[in-house]
Amino acid sequence: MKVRNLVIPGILFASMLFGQKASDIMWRVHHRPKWKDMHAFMTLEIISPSGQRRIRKMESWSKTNPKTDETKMLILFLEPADIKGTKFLLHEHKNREDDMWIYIPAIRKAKRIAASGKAGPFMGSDFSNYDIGGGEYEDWNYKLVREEDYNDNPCWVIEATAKNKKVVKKSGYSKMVKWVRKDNFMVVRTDCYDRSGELFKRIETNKMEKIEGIWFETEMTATKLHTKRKSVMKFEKIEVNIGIPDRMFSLSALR
Amino acid sequence: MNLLAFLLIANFPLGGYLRFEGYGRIDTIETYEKLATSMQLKVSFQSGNVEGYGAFDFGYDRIKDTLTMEPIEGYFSIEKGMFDLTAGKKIVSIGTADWLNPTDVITPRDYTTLHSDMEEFKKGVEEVNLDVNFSNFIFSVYLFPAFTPNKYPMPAFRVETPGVVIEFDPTRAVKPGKDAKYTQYGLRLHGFLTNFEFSATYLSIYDRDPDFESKVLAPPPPLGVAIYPVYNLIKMYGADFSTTLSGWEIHGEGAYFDTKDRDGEDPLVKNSYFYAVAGGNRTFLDEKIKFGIQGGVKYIKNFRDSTDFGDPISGMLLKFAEKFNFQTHEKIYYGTLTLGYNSPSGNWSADQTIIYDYTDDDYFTIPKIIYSPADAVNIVMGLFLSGGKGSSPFSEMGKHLGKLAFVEIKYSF
Repeated sequence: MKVRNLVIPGILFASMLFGQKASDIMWRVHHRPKWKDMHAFMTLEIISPSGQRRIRKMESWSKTNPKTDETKMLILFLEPADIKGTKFLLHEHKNREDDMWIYIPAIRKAKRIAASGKAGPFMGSDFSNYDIGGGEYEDWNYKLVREEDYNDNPCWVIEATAKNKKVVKKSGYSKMVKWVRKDNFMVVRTDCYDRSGELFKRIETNKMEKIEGIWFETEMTATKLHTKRKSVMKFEKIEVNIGIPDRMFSLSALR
Repeated sequence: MNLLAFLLIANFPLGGYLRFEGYGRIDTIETYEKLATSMQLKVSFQSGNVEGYGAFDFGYDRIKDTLTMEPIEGYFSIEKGMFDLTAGKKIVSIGTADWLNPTDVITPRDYTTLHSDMEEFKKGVEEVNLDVNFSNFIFSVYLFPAFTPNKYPMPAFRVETPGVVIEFDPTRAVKPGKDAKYTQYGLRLHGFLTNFEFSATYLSIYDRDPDFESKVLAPPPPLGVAIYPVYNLIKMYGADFSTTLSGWEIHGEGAYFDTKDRDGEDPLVKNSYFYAVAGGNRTFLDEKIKFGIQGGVKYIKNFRDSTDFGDPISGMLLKFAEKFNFQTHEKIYYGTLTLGYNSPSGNWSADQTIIYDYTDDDYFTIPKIIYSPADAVNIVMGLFLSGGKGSSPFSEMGKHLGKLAFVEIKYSF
């Protein structure tokens, strides 16, 4: 009887401790130092189960407001030729829905996109807009599942469960399991569970670089586990802290 | 050395597309309406704070036996601090609505050639545009030194009724002159405030759509009347907005057009009118399903029916003008419905938008399936349908074009 009285609070305490530790780890992941701004070229390769490859090339600019920690991002599509000149502008907000526009050269207009599209695929790839934009730390409950090596790197394995249905709807995920490297707080693998709780997608970091003292994923792969379709995103010619003007992210950039 | 070789050697960023289009009627008459091969060449550059862009169309239509060589756009932009100056021929698109755009009246359209994409009817307009950029606002001044009308298939005709002979001759169109005094202009304020994007536009331009004038050729009997197109100065006071709400993109666009015939006394000239459209778009199932819906209204100020005119000839002239100016009733209600589907593989999609004129019971729609077998290659198959019971331009288009099926193969480079 005495043992049971000790075990239950002990389990509760341990789970609180591990929950707290997981939250602390994920806080570090979400609040890693950021550059003031970044310019890069991106290649997105979509590989069908039959091996057919489709390549999209993009140029991107992003800038983070150090006071609000909100990021603005502009992506210009370079290839394939039928979507060349298309631009995607994102104004991230902490306390309300993000503002998103897409400029379509064929109609010479920028159109607003509702945030419901965040769970949708990024440029027809296996990454979602949510994967690209990143989620909010506050939207998830965290639990440390175990500690293990992943690709010879010691990692924490953390389960992130959506706090409510709104988060599930926004992200497209009910749960994510993340492998976080202990040495640099980089997420090297994410297993994504769909709205019904079924594992359906895996995102892996293939390469990362330390640029001006900050780690960054330079190559990632997203694999749909049922269909075996996958997408590889690569960043090249990365420039950081180059003083990108605010105007780059204004309405005048969308033309 | 030809231009293409020069551009390639000069390492210009050259792009464009090669396309084959086939259109055929599928109603009572089974004929080919268009068998065209076309190529568009696009050139763009950026040198310091100067940018340039040009697009040139080349094409041949076997059915009409017509060769097309046409600059669609060609302009330069210079950025200096908060100022952007653009000069050249450019497609200027404003407004937030889909398909029905009350304020999008700057750029002329050519409706004499079939296209499956509404945007391809647009042709560039010569303009000088100065944008003054503030943090969340852009103030724009436009000057349009030349006038280009919308092009419609307007065949000449002659109607004989007892005592009256009416001749319509589109080749005698009266257009604004080339003097500087005919320069058109516009002002626009475009802004963005916490999730709400808006613009207000004022235009003083010559109407791209024709009004008409009549001239008595011979005294009765019979009375001979000649009708010909004339392009009058109009003023447009327009505004639009877009925002997002609970997963929906919401937009609206409206304008008041101050025409030459505010009192509605001339049956051949458009009355002043108000035209507005509002609606929203959203996606479902991770963007696989696209849904859009809009409603619109056009209110014709001082509207008069053909019977409201005292004489039968004015009534006939009004009926004639209605076929071109959409002013068939005092209030005309429109609706648009868009449904789209993107396949999970990303290789094909289906898209349908229908525009319905509730007042005239007329419609226009281009349902299509787009298959992409490889990067930059698109095969489009669809129908081009218009018609109805009323006398709006949609039903006129249906009578003129019939019901069409089409296929397009396009490679972009």
